[in-house]
Amino acid sequence: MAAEVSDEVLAARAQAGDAGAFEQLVRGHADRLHAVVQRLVNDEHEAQEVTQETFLRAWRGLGGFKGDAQFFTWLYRIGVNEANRRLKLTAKSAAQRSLEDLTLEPHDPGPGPQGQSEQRDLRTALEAAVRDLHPDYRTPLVLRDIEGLSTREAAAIMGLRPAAFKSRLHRARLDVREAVAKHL
Amino acid sequence: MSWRMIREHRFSRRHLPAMLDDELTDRQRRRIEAHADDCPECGPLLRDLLRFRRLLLGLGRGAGDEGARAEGILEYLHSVPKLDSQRPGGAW
Repeated sequence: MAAEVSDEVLAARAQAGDAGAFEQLVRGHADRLHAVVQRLVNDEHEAQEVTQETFLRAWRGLGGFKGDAQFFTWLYRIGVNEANRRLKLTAKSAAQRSLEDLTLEPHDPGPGPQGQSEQRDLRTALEAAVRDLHPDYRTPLVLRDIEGLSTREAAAIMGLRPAAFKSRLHRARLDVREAVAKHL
Repeated sequence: MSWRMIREHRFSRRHLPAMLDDELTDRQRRRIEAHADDCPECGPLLRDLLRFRRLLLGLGRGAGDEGARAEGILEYLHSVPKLDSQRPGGAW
């Protein structure tokens, strides 16, 4: 059985012109990156375009990857920047479904205990609250609390110092709590 | 409110983010938990933020591990016109 090749080795091969190595990187990161991007742009079609564009930019910019950071950190940074650039261009956040439009059923008439229904409602409210955050605050929350990246990794992706990242993350968490509290 | 309560309240507020990120020592964590048991502000805040954190992490789990996106992206990359034959840095 062949040993698993690290991202950094694949990136080095891709830098030398090995398209097959880059294809392996695409296969390894496409789904996860798409999931992150979709949380940032809130639109499936837009997320697909951003993900494609991210890999194209990564391929074209591979010469700039120095290997002093992890490949996925470098890749996600391109993706996050591209997602935020699109958000600014289209100003879509204003048209996104607002938390105000969210209707939460106080009681679930369907099967299952009430506890499960409340949990589902809370999850729905949380998703809406995250969507309504300003991108500057949504991004740290998505990377750290939803994707489970470390503070160091997520801060590096955003190009922030850990202290600045933590400050934004805490503000995002408090904003989400405030938004959810109004609807539960 | 007693001076001790005020001191513990300040400590808890300052270290709450670190508590959520598991960056505190056991002693610091216990100190905040003890204060949260008595404080009508910090108790609900801590419980909510810990609960939300668990739920948010759950939203990310299982999403996007199927390998389904890669083929479409590779198809897109192969469709990009070759503007430059030199790789990397040129067209796909």
